[in-house]
Amino acid sequence: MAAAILPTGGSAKRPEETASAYPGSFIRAIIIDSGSAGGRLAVSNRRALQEPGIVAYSGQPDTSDVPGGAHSRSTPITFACSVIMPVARAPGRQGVESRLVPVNAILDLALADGLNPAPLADAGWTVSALEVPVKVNGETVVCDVVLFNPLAGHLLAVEAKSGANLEPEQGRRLTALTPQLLVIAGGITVPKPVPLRCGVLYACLAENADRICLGADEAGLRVPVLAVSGSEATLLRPQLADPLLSAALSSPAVWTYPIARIVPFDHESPAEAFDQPVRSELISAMTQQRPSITIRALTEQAVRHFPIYGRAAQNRLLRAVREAARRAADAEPERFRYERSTGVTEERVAVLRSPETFDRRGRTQGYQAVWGSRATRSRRQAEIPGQIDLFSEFDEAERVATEEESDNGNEGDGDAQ
Amino acid sequence: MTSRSDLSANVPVDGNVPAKAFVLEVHTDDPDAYLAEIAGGRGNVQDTDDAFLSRVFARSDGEFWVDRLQPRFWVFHTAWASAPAAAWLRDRVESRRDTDWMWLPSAHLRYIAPEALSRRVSTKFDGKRLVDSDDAARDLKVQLSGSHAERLLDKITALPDYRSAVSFSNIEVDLNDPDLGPLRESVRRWGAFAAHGEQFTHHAQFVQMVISRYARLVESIEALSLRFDPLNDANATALQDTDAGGASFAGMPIGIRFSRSIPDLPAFCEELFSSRAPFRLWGQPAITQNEALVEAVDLHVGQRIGIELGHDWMRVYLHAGSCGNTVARLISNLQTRFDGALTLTHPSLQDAAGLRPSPALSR
Repeated sequence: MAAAILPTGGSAKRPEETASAYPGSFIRAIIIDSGSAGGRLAVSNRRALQEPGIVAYSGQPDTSDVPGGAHSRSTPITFACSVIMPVARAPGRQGVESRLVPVNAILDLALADGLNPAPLADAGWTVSALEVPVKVNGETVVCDVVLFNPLAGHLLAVEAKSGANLEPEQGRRLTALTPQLLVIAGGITVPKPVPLRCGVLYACLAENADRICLGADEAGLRVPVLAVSGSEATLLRPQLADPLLSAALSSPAVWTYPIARIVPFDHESPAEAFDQPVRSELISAMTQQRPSITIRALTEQAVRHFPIYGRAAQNRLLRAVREAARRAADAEPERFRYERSTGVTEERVAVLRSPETFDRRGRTQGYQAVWGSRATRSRRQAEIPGQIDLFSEFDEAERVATEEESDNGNEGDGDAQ
Repeated sequence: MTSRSDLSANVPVDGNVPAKAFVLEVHTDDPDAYLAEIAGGRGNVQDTDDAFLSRVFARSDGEFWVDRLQPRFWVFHTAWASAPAAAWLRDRVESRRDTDWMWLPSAHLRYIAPEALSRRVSTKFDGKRLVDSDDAARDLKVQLSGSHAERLLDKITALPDYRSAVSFSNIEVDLNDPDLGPLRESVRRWGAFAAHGEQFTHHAQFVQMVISRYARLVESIEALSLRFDPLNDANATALQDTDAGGASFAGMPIGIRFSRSIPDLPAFCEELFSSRAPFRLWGQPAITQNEALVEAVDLHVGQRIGIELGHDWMRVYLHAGSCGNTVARLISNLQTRFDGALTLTHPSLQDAAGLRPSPALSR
């Protein structure tokens, strides 16, 4: 759902158009009767919220400790009170599609990023390549993931099953692979002259594991299977695995965090899966003040793992990105325009207007407005965004007052001169 | 013409006004043209006898001596007043996508130099926008002057309720070298240095030491960026009759573990990806109960980064060719806005972010 900041009361007032005659001012109270002061302040605050046309808040967030903070031109100087709206949710699916869980699980187990357990990385395997086509006995088989353990000289060809069916012919080709073929096909560097060996591992969703094992038995494939569930990854048929692999996965690897999304989507993903990456790349083009970006370039950037796919899959990705780009442009016709290819130009998205070059609201709010990406939501805090901190209210006044009356030297910051 | 040895006269460290140095991270294949561009024209740049040292006339009353010895991290030396000098540089940084500050993580300030005696420290932790109002430590601003001033912040860090609100923002240290003499340095987390001392070279070496350590962090981050490179042409030729792809793979996500929990993930995301300073991240997060996914854009440099966020963890997917400074800035800003005690889950990265300096400088 897209949502945007709306001025209080739902009027058409723009954020920078506070109704106060003194946009730099805010509500002050000189407390004399301490017994009722809190109540007065509360009333004042309520009134400001309820009557934005009469009383407006303004101020600036304290970003003074960083360059480009409080004095940055991109930081809004004043804020209007905002209507509270539900937080914006991005279009697109959340999490990894179940189809892509097995391949991402294998990658996560082999990447020692310090979050989920990485028993394959701990045992010495590294991820060498993805979607590696290998010619075996005149036929081609594609290995979804190739892992290499340079110390042990062990290569692991992983078939990540998105479903429950095992293809016997593909399995036979995989089991016919030799380490030499994998090294050449995967462009793998072997740093030490160790004897090379290889094995095959099937990875699948735990719910499909029984059928995959059955299919392997029926095809006469003596291969281990990694069953991946939402909570763990378990090696089945460990007696068929290389001892190094069965030792590494001797106990289930329990996910302590969500599985990393190295392959977040693919050519079979639903259309909305492309919206976030495509829109981000269009924003990126905006920031760099590019006048346009071709659909081909947009695809290669939005789908970072684009090179792993063959031509047919790449064409499907291109189509999916094109559709996402058209949706993005249609939703923001003042900022983007999808343009078909002509005799002289490639198919592309033109950037018509960027907050970098002109946006009456300022750069930050300009970006916030794209696809209504800025939304407000119920805040837990009692403070109003942009309201000046009462605790600090008299800091400057105190500094001025005391300095005027004192001729004492101020030690100050050494670098503030 | 002027040479490097004349810097001590042009940016004196022994005058009333401190010598200042600002570090900018730049990306350029043509440093001379780049410098002329940010200086507002070649007429504002004066060459020196040193190929890596230039004089830049900022305004009628201000100038920088720009040292480009480190191709990626340029040092802008000046005797100009801090405020206009920083403002001039800020305008350059803000208006470009290939220039950024040096965003020191808290530990790089805490352990700024071996055998340095810390004289003054400050933490300006501002969690108003990201930390729950009921939290024991939402804002913490402490400034202390005195011998071994950092020990106060260490003591606060030792208190479980407050450790996440301690992040070094500024440190002033005394260094005393038998050959180079005394030096007092004040360092800000965004790469600004001010110095008093006897020898300019002492100050310049100190700045370079801090840069080197930071450069190692940035390079360590970039070494983990995700890279998919098409498999070699030889293999493609052998398989030209097939619809084959295939790519080698390198890198991994960068994990961050928080010491405090994010109580309200949507509110946190709303702020983090609001495009506002200091994070300047644009994004439309997809949020579930326990996780948020976002393909964000770092508006500082205009590059996309993937971010996954849970209640006490974050994964950053940096892609090949992206700048590691993006993650370094994210870390530094998270330390001062949400969790000063966050840790990086990758051991070598945590080592680089928390790196203590070697005693080379102090000899």
